[in-house]
Amino acid sequence: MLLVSAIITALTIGFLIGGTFVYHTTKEVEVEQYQAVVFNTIGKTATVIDNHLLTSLTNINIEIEEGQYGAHYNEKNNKLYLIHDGESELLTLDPQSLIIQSRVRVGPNLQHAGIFDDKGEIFFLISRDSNSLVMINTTTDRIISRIEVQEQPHHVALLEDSVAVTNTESQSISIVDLKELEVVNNIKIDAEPLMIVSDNNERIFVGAIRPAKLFFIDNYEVKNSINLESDPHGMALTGDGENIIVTLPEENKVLIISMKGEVIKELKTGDFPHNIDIEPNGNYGYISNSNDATVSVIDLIKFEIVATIETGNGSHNVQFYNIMNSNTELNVAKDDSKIVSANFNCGG
Amino acid sequence: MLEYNNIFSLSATLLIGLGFGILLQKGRFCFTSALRDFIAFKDTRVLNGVIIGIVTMMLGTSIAYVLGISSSNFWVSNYGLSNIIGGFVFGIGMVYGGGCASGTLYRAGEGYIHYWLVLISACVGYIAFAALFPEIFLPYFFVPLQIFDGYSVISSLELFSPIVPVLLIFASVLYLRNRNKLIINQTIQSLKLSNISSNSLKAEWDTKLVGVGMGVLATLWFVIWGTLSVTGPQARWTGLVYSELFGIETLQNNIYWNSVVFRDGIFSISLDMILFMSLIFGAFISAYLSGDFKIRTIKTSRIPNAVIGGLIMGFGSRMAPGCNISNTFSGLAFLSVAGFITSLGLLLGVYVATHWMFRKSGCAI
Repeated sequence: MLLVSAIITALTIGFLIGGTFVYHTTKEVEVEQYQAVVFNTIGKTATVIDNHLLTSLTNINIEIEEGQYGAHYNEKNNKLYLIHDGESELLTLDPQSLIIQSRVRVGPNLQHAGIFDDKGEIFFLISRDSNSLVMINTTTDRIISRIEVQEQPHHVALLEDSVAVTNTESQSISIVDLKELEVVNNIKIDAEPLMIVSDNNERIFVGAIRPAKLFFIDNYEVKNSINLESDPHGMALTGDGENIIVTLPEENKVLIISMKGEVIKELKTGDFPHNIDIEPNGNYGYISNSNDATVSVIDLIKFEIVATIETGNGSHNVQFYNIMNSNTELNVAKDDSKIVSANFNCGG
Repeated sequence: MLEYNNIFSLSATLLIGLGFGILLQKGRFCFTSALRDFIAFKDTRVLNGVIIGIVTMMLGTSIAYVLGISSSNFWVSNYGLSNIIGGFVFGIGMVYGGGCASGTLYRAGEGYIHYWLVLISACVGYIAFAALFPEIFLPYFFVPLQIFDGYSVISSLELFSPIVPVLLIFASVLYLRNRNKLIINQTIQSLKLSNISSNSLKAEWDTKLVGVGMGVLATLWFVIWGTLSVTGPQARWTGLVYSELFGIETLQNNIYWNSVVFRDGIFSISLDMILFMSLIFGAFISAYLSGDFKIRTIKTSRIPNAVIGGLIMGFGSRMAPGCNISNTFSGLAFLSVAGFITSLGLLLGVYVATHWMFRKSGCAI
């Protein structure tokens, strides 16, 4: 009896030690553990998601004015930017307590989407009424440059040494060189471009309206375009860069589209799928269904909706906090923290 | 302040809590005794009751699950080396303090000051653990060690889950019959109304019957609330009392209280906390009616055991996470990997502590 117990104990401990060793020799796994947080603009709340159980854990109120907000978490400086769509201020918040720390006047009619550079040092956002791309230093929250593009810009995507900006009124994509800080190219398309994403190979994908189309741009030339049944909005690339996911809010569905422009799968979502955000490890995408207060979680390997999670009203977009990054201070006692990994269960 | 105002849920919780308290007290249902007696003296009396309770709960919860109880009622913790270390620490605390989570409760109901001191010390342990959690336990213990996703065989088998306990019961019956140890008739005989008297009710109950009763009550609790646990609700009571003394901000500003213990963000009294209290009250009623209740002062020489043992249990139950009830009783009933590993650590802790504490009186190992 004692011998059998000893063998079972030794095997179990051996398995655990071995498993822990294997787990930690995979560097990526060690340094990245993400917590998904949904930002709900109507309810003015943030919903913390249990990434393992795919359920909502808690809703945290955000003291902000009415409006639509795009949330952008800056891992480098552990701060959260909220862009108040249509207004002129960028809000900076403590990402855990969600308390507003400062307001930065950026320019008229800000668009809710923005993007960080690779190092997280610069935040790019769009001031539509001043037809400009605005660059913010994420350490100081000061404007470091304001670059005029074409008429009514909407969204921005990062390329290697430049950024691409969609100009809705001009029906063009402006390429802004980040060294010269000026527009070096304008790519004309035959529709009004809204959202834009890019991949590691400098390819650009643009969702457009009037008419509803998706454009494939490579080497600053439109290589392909496909018609869509209604206006696209949220766009994201899968981690392997092989497919693009596009939400069609009016159809309550997302399309999985190959690089050849073939729709390889359609998936039903909740009401009005607005944005899609991909988990940093690339396994799941979170689709914000703005009209029914949910997010649909899509398995990016099987291309299946695996969960629909209740959120606050007006789910808008999802951000991912890396709880293992020392910059986030989530693992080094931040006294006023509210959002932490909730995978640790106190149990019985 | 009360979170649940559904009178049915509240009444059922009170009754189940009282039932647990009565059964624990009448069966002297203590996991420390069960393991210590087995390890040190090869006495399986209480251990048999514990095993029967686990299998009964396994059967009950699997049937309830098939009938539609939510899978979220299963508490299936993530696991890793953290569980075995936490279980080991808790096991040491159990033996040194003189009682497990459930044993401490029923003995507190019997009037032992020693076990009230264990309970209070465990609460101090929770507060200290919460203070150390953000800087020490989160980055250096849970994040690197609690790395595997939780898994329960029972919840994973879904419709086929009752097969496991049925097979276990079938195999046990065959084994005992072959060894002529099957004493069903004798047990049934003892349940006959004619054999039940006030004296037999006042006397200690058969631990095997108590085990069945525990399993049935744990199943009812699973249907109403979820997993049976002791130190979780105890930690929540600690948090509420702490917040009354030092302000609600003390909980809101600490990530362990705010996001782990009160993970739903509601700082109020929940049903499991009511069960916890009614369990102690049930043990008190049982002890009082049986003539077992008496305020028993603690010997000075035993104070270190109660204080240090309670503190270690407090820390161990947070590290594991969970106590013997949520891991060994409920966890094994769910065939949860975390439950198995934590129980193994707990067993190791009991083994080492028993061997050390009974080294002079002649431990059987």
